[in-house]
Amino acid sequence: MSESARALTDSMPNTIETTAQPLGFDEAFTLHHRAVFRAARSVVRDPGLAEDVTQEVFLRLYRNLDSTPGEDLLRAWLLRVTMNVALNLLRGQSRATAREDEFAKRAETTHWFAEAPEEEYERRAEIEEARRALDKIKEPMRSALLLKQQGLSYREIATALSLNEANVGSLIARGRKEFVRVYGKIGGTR
Amino acid sequence: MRDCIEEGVLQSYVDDELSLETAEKVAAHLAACRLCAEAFNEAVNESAMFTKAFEAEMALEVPTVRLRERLETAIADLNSPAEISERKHGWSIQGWLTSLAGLFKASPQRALGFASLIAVVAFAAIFATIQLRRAGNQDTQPVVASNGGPKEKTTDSKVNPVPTPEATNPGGGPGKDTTPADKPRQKKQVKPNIVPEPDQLPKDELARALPGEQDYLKAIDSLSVEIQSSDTTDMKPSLRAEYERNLAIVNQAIDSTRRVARRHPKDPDAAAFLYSSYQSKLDLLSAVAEQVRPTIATR
Repeated sequence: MSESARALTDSMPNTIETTAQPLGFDEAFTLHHRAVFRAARSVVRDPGLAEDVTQEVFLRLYRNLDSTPGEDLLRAWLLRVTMNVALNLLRGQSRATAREDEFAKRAETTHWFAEAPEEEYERRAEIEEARRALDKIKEPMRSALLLKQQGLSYREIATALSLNEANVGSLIARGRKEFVRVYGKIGGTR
Repeated sequence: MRDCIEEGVLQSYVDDELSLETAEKVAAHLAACRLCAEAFNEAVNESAMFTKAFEAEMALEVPTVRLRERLETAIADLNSPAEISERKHGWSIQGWLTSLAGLFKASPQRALGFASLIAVVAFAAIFATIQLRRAGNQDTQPVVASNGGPKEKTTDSKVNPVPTPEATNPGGGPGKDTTPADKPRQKKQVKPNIVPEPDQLPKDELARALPGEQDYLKAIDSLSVEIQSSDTTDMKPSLRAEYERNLAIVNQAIDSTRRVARRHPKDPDAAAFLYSSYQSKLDLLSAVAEQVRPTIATR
């Protein structure tokens, strides 16, 4: 959080005066907050932290409404910011002890599910398997897959991750193959 | 094989990312090349597997409402920079205070303060209910009160307020009150006196008193005096017991909150606790004073 928080406070004095098409902002939130939140959650693995990331992302959008790209690439822009904020957050956190992580993970999983215990367990295991498999995949394939999963087009993925659009297809192909190989090993052959 | 489709293009085809022209070329090749057709099938299956693997994750809740609320708050903060700088200032003071009173923040004293205040509020509510119920019965009581007995009593208590004559002589006052209703009252008088002690601060404490604390103390004192100068023995036994218990709790609350407030004179929470415990005592005393006032009025 420290970096993003600092960025936030640094930019506070020169808040952009927007007569801010508030509708545009609201629309952007309504359309894209799910993708932003889910992508953030995939990276930070904690719903609370994902909320922090989402808030920061949309605050940046709010402050930069007149310099953000048009509707066609807005989602890509948002997810680019999302990935940056989320990764910075993780980097800042990586010093935290493993025990804390473990605790957070447990808190997170118990917090998310409120169904019947069996189903809960099954779903939790399913999510954990998929995440572990995705973790094994190298960047930028991993992020490309993650964004693909959120429904982004190749062009959006390329924009969000600063990639050449022509390479996205092969990155996804390689990432997907790797994922299936690892996922099969972990045992998720559903 | 030479014309075979590169895996990136094939993936783009699976993901429907190719231009119509290129897509048609790929489709034509797939129809002709078994190897590429197999690769295509595999890509389709694996893509489906990937999607399925994240189905559970995608089904997890997105807290839309909370996210929107948080964002609205944050934007409101952005839009009022004055407020932010004010709060920043406040935070820095608070940070300084925390470093000063860091241990206090999570101390059991605070928990005790909360607990006793909650208890006080609860008992005050009970007390008020009892009082209300009693107020309904009062229509009949003034008749008794306007007899000679109370008149004498009040003059007695005026002369010697704290321990009423009855209290010092449990069996005393012969011939004065002969009504049967008086018996339980006399039994009660053996009990320790319930008349509140004025909330005096020791001399050294006075100097350290918080602003406004004196006002509370003065108000409490004047009420205490009023209650002392009237006859509390007239109270119903149950009511009297309630009052004693409440008073003990309030005093305890005041003691503990005052101790904390003295130790952390700049902590606004500590002061707030102390004030609200004073307020509780004030409320309790005024309720009791309300009860004993009719007796005075009949003098």
